This record gives sequence, C-alpha cells and structure tokens, in this order.
Amino acid sequence: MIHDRSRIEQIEIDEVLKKAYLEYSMSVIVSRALPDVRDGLKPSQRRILYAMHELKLEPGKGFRKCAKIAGDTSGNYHPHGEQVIYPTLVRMAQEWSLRYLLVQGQGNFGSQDGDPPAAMRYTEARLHRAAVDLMADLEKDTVDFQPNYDDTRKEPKVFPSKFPNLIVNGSSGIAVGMATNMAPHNAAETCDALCALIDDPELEPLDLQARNQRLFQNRIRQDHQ
Amino acid sequence: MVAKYDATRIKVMKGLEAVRKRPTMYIGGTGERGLHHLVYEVVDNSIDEAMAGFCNRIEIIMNIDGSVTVIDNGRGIPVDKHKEQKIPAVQVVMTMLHAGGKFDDKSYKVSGGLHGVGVSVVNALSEWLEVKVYKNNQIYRQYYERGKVKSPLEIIGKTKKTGTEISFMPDEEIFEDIFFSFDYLSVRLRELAFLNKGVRIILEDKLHNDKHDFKYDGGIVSFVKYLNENKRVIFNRPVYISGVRDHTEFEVAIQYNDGYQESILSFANNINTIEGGTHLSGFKSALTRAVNTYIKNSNLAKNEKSTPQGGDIREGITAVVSVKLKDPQFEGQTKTKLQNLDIEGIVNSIVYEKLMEYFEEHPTEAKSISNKAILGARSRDAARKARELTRRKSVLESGSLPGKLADCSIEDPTQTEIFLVEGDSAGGSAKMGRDRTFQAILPLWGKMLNTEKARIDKVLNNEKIQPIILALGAGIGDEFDKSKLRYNKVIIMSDADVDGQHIATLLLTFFFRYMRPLVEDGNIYIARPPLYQIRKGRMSRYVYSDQERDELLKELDSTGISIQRYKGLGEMNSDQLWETTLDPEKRILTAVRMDDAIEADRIFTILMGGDVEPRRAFIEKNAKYVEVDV
Repeated sequence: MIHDRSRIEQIEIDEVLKKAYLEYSMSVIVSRALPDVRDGLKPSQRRILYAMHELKLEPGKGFRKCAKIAGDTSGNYHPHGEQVIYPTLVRMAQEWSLRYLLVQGQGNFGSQDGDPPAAMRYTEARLHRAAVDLMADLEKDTVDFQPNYDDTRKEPKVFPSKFPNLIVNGSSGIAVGMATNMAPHNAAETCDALCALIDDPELEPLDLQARNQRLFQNRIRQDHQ
Repeated sequence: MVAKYDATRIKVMKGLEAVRKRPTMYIGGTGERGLHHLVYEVVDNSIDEAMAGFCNRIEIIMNIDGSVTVIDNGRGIPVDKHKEQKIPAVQVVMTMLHAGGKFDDKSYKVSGGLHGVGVSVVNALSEWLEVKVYKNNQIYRQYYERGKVKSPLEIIGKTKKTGTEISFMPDEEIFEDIFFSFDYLSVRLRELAFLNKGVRIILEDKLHNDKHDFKYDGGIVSFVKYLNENKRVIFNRPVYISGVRDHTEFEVAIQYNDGYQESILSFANNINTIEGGTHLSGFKSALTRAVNTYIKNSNLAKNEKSTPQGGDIREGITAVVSVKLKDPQFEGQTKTKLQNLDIEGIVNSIVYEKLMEYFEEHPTEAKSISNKAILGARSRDAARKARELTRRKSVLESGSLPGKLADCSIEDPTQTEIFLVEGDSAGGSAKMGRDRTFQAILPLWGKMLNTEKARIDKVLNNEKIQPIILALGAGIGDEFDKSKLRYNKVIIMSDADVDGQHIATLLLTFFFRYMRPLVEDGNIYIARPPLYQIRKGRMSRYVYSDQERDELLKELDSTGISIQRYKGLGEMNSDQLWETTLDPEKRILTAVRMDDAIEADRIFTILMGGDVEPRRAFIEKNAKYVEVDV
C-alpha cells in the first residue's frame, strides 16, 4: 500500500489555464517573437550578436566556427537548444533574408531555393559592418544591462543602434494574439528622411515621400552631368 | 450487554429534529454542495413566485458575518393564522416539513420545490434565521434558532412594499465549512436568471465587494448567445421554439457554432438535469428527424454514402432545453434525470412541428445546419476508419502500450499514477528517480497539437497524442470509459519555464475536450517542481515559490548564500527529482478541479480557439498581472 501524503493544493481548471497561458503568451510577445522597436532585434538575435561581439569577431578579423558561436550563445545568454540558435544565426547571414546583413558567413549558408545550410560544425561566421554599427559605443554606458538567465553575466537589454534597424531591415514574427510584419527600407533614404524629420518634426509621410523623390531625381541628374 | 429491543426503542422523531439528524437526506450532503443548497432552497421559493408572475427582483446578499440574506418582491409568505395549526402560516412554513403552497395547483402551477421540505430545512440547519414579511402595508418579523421559534411573529413597522426577506446563518455543528463561495453561487443564479426571463437576480458579496446583476429579457435565447459568446456562430439569431401542451410548458433555443462539440443544457422546472431524461431525448430525436426529413426533401445529400445520425446533427450545437411541468419525477439520488414518460412524446411533437415550420421559413439557416450535419457524417466515417487503423496498429505494437512508456509494476489502477513528462531529457531522470512499483513515466517530446482547433480524426492520428491515449487505455471522446483507466492520478510534469506552461495548457485542453470525466472527477494533477535551490554552507533547501524564497532569505543572513534557479527538469539529478517532485511523502501536487464547466468552456474557447480577437483582448486586459520571465 502506498501512503500518499503529498501536500495537495486545489485549483480551478480555468484558473490554471488562464495563469499558464498568460505567462506563456506574455513571454512570447515581450521576449521572443516580436522585435524591440529601438534596435529591431528579437532577443535571440541580440544574444547571438552580443556573444559574437564578446568573441571579438569583428569584420576584417578571422572567422570562427558557427558551432562555437551557437554554443557560447546558448551557454551564456540563451537557455535554449543550439539547434534553434543556429538557424537564427544563419538567417542573419542570408542576403535574401535580410536587406543589410548583420553576419558575414563563410561556407554554405543555404540558398533561395530552400536548400539547407551546411551543419554548424562546417560553417564559419563573423560580424558584418552593420552589426558593428548596431553595437557601437556599447562599452560607453549607453544602454542598460541586465543579468543573464543564471545570474553569472550581464547582457544588454537593447543595442545603442546607430541606424534604425527596425525600419531598414524590417521584421516579421508571429506571437500569441498578435503578430508583426514590417517591410525593409533603403538605409540612405531612411536616414535622409530621419534628418528631415529632425529639422521639421511636423512632416507627414507624403511629404517625406515627395522629398525622397526629389532627392532621387537630383541624384540622377548629377550622375548625368 | 445489548439493550432489549422492544417498542420503547422505536423512536419517532418530531418535526425538524429529523432534518438535523440526517441532513444528507434533505440537502444531499454537508459539504460545499449541501451548504450552497441552502441558498438555492430559499431562492427557489422566490423563483416560484416569479414563475407565478408576482415577483421580478430577487436579491441575494452575502453578509460580512457570513450569513446570507435573500430578498424578493413577491407576495410575501402569508401571515394570517393557519386554520388547522392555529399559528401564523409563515411559522407553519418555516417549522414544519411538508408544508407549503405547492401541493395543489391553486396558488402555484409549477414549481421547482418538490417535496415541500424547502425552507423549513434551511431553518433547521441554521444557527439562526430571521424572516421578514412585507405584506398588508406592515412589516412582520420572526426569529428562530436551529429551527426553534425564539420570538413570536411581531409587527415591527409599516411599509408599502410586498415581499419576503430571509436571513440565515448556517450551523457550524452541521456543516464541514460554512463559507459561501461567490463563484459557486453565481453559476446557479446566472442559470436561474436565464431560465426566468425578465427576472432580475442580484448577487452581492459584502465581504469582498463583488457584485453580479443578472437580468436577461431574452431568456434562454440570451443563454445560448452567452454560451456561444466567443465562438463563431453559423447563424446569428438562435432558433427559438416554445409550446404548451397538457399543462406542460416547453421551450428550447438552438444555435450552431463552427466547432465540433455538442453542448446541450437541459432543465426541468429550473433544475439542471445533468443526466438529461425524457425531455432531452424527446428533443434529440425530434431534431434528428426534422433535419433528416429536410435533407431528404430538399435533395441535399443525394451523393452521400451515409445519412447523418444524431451525433452528426448535433456537432457544434449549443442548445438550452427547458421544460416546466406539474409533478416532475426525477431519478436517482442526485435528482438529475427527468423521468416523466409523457414528456418525451410532448416535446418530440412540439419540436418536430415547429422545427419543420422554421426550416420552411428560413432556408439559409436550414441549409447551413443540414450541410454541417452532412459534413459531420462524412468525417464520422473518416474518423471511424482512422480509429480502426489505430486499433489495428496498436495491437501490432508491443501489446498496445506505447514504446516510450516506462510502466509501473503494480496493476491495481486505484494506486498507480502516470507522469506526463516534458522532453526526453527530463523523462530520463524521472524514469531513474521514480518508485517503479506505482509510478509510470511517459515522456512527451515537443509541443503537441492544439486539440481545441482540431477534429477528432486528426487528434486520433496525431503521433504525439496517440501515446497518451494508449497509455491511459480508456479511449477518447464519446468512447472514453473511465473504468478502463490504467492510472488513478494523471500528473502533468513540465518545466518551470514558459514553454512548460504552454505544454501544460495544451495537455489540459486535450483532457478537457476529449477526456472530460478525468477533469470532472479530479484525476488530473500538476506536479510542482521546486523553483530554487538555496544553499548556505552545508545547508541546502528547495523552495517552491518566490514568496517562500523571500521568507527563507529573510531568515538567513545574506552572506555566502547561493541560489540556483531551476528552469528545466533535466537540470536535476534523478535523486533530486525524487526528493522534490516525485516522492509522495514530500511532494506538492496541484489538483485540477472544475466547478464551473461553462466558465471553463468559455476560457478554453478564448485562449485556445480559432478566433484571435477575443484572445488578444484577454491578453491586453490581463497583461498587467503577469511578471514576465525573460
């Protein structure tokens, strides 16, 4: 005979469901599927880039194995399997996935036809120029840091982002009850538009569009002369 | 020595003494159910006034001291002297069993109270009870303790109102617990408000400052709309059918949603007949007959192999059936099945006649109902094939138990438990850590199908759900047979992170939709792995909540403390897992129970259903209560 002396707490089924589901959905919304408006990155992307930054994988220096990057990211910042980190890393190095690449890959990173990339023990990667701009001045106390999942390190809550990555690279993601889908934009035009907005905050989207067109025509004319 | 057994030993209990001696006979128990029954018993009297057309407002107040007051604006209990008993009629009603105005049909035609035990039982089981009657421009008052008169009926003032006000405090000597639950009361009172259109029922909790105000002019039509609130309905306005025949009033409201579940509530004289009975079977057979006749006449199913059966026609139906009759006969101890044989024929003929009329007048609705039934028949065929396939398959595979299951060694299903464990990594340590005599482990990999959005043939063919069905061994859906259940406790054990929470919700949805008896009878549990291990020097303690952690940290001084947060079950060694989560001597289990099936259904539909809007609204409304785990 088994003596069951477990402490039993009663709970209503709709209460468990509400609580569990809310926690799950809020977490997916806030820290998984949707990008931060300030640097346009989802937490998994930010953690990969930060881990690469710590490995000093700047452009111009050597490549490192993707397995190493995925392992460091998983162990230090992102407590999920490497097999979900690697595809995120790969996507940031695919020309047809991002308008401005954040990671520079060496090796087979797949193709537009849907061919898979080589396994992460073969491929190598380092940061791309745009990623360096996203993280520039990180050391100068520009953004808040937070403890990582096991409280042994600190990671940035957001990158300083020299350029508006969300608008430039766009983003898409499906969370719970809400989703995002944003188109990418030309970086130079975006920056022009932002400068114009700083000069005249009242400008409407149509004004910006007209302005952009003028600038574009001017450039073509200059090229002809 | 045994006392002599002669005539002196035969005791006749007088009046309400018997009620106090055997309360269960009168109110069905001394637990939560019996306690709340007291309130219903008093409210039922007011509802009877409402059904007779003299009352349209009933107020139920949960007072701060724990007593309950029920006020109605009916005619008020008569206060003049009773001819035979020579005491005021109200006193007769309050102190004598089998007294009341409902034994002939002179003052009430139909009534929910059956035996006339009613309010006198409440009086007998209350520490004190006070009745005030507003009648003849006077206010009368009388006070009782444990069923005994403590003050004569007196006039304490003047009034222009009419009605009855009864306050009582349940007796601690009788009941295990004397705290009323607001939610528990709301369920039944909401039902009553739906069933008696136009009557306003107000429930107020003075202690927690909570209030519900129920009034539904649409009656059961509003009830059906309420049940379908967050579902996508096939046509907007519910079908409403009513009729009177041989002193029997019958009404039904029907609406279809795009789901596959059948949800029909049936009531006889306002009593929820959970097990159905003749009124329900009459309705069902008339519905089947009417839809099939319509399909045949309009030639909708000429190329179909099988004609829709009752179950196909009721796929996605939401209906409320209510019958009000003289002398209802109920079956069984809990009185939840109507037995009057003549009702079946009456209901059947009313429904069939009126439904055929409705179909003639509303061809669009009739077509959509028929098409749904035809689709249902088609998918039943497909599901049957799939089921046969799984049966054949499972016989072939290792004695019909799933390969991943680590079964327990004893076979007595009353003593065994099964852990549904998230992930292979945790499954391994659970397998090593368990007590293999009575604990079985079934590892589940990854996220399973959301069964709220899937049809049964898909559920049956799902490779992540099949092992659960096979391991529990009791079938699924309509074929679920609890007597074949192989384990007494079904324990969900997922990681303490957000994905673990998600897996728990998916499993609960599956059990709620396809193994409902497990949820109803409380066989489902959720394991509670510790959240932290706190170590200081040689001491180490497991902590199960943030609150507990803060308390412990306050006790210890803060130097040299290390805190480990457990995110996954796989982080623990097998002996740690046994010590903290599996060992029946020490573990904490959360037992999942269900008091309000309608509310549960509503929440499952919002959170797991196909419509995004209500889910998003729910999240936006409740987001502030959540601490986000990054």
